[in-house]
Amino acid sequence: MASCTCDYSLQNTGTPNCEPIQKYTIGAILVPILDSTGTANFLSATVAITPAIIFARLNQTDASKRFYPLMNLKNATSEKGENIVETFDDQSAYIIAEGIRSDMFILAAKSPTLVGKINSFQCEDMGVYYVDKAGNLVGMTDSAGNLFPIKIQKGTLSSIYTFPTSTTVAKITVKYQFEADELDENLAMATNTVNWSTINGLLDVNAVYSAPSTTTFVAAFTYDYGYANAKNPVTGLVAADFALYNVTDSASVTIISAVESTTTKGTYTFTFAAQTSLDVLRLSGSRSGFDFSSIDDTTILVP
Amino acid sequence: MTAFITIGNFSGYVPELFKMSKEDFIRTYKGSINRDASIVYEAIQTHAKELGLNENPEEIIIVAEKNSSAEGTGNNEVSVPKRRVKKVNN
Repeated sequence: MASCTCDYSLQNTGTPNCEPIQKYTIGAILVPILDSTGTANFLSATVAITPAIIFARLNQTDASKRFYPLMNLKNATSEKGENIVETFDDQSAYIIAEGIRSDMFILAAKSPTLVGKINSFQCEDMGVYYVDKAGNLVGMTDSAGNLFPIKIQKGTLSSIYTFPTSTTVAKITVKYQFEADELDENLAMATNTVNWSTINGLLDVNAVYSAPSTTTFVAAFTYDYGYANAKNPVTGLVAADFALYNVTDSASVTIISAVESTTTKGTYTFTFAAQTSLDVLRLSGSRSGFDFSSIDDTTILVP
Repeated sequence: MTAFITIGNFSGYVPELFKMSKEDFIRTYKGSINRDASIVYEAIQTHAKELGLNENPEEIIIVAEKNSSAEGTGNNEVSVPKRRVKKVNN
C-alpha cells in the first residue's frame, strides 16, 4: 500500500473507449535488476523496441546486462495475496500493506538441465518482463515511460522438474514472488516490433581439445543438453566464429581453417599459423545465439 | 566483404588460404571436406581476387581509410601480416 499523499486531489476514474489490454502470458524474460556497474537495466521510452534492440540484449557479452528469455509458457498464473491487515476488537480492519503477488508458469517438454540454469538466478537480484499473447512487453513503468523489469523477491525463485507419466510430459514449474514494493498500478505494456516466437536464450558451448600439433588441433563442441554420456554436438560453426590467442607470446594467431568432421558432428579440425612447441594457446568464440565463455576454461598446449 | 569463406563443412581465412598451392591445398584437405577440394580451392582464389589480394605477396595493396580504426601502428594499416601490406595514403 503506497503512502497517502494528502496535497493533491483524488484521481478521476474515467477510461477511454479503447485502450490496450494485457493478454495472457506466453513468455518471461529474466533480467538482472542492476548491471555490473550498478546501473539499472531497463528499456528506454525514447528508443523503439525493435528486433535489433532485443537481439542485442539477448547476445549481450556482459551477463549482467543480458536478457534470459523463457518462451512458450504454459498455464501462466499470477495471484495476488491477501492484504495484510490489523483487525481490532470491534472487528474493523486497517490495511497495513498489499499482499504479495506470486507467479507461476510451466515449461513443457523440457529436460532437467534447464532447472539448473533457471535456479542459477536465485542468488542474484532478478527481474522479469512478460510477453503476452499479443506480443506486448509487460513490465514496470516510471513517469518517463521507461519499462523496467518487475522485481522478483530474492529467495523466492525456484524451478522444479516434474517426471513424465504415461499421460503427461516432463515439465518444469517455475515459481517466484514479486517484491513487495512492486505496485500493480505501475504495471505497463510497451509496444514493440519483435517476433517473439523466434526468441531463444543463448546456448552454452563446451569444448574438449585433442590431437594438438604446431599447426592444428581438434575441438569437440557440445551443448549442456543431451545424454549424460553423449551431449548434443554444436554443428555448423565456422572459422570466423573463433579467435585463437597465444598466451605464451601474448599474440593473436591466425586461424587458417576450421573443418567440421563429416563423421563426428560437432568435431572440428582447426589449422593455424605454425606455433612454437610448448606455447599455450587459447581459443575463444563469438557467434549470435551462443555463449562460448567456457571454451577457454581449458587451454591448448602446443606439443 | 568478409575475409572468410565457408563451403560445406570447410571454412577458412582467405588471405592465408589463397597462398597455398592447389596441390598443397588438396593434399591437406582432401578427405576432410565434403566438397570437391579442387572446387573449394578455386572458390578461394576467386574470393581472394574479389578481396583485392594478389598472388605476389609483396605487391598486395590494401587501402584502409585514413584515420580508420583498423589495427596496426599506422592509420592506414589493416590487420593482415605487415610484410604483405603496402601502405597507401588516401
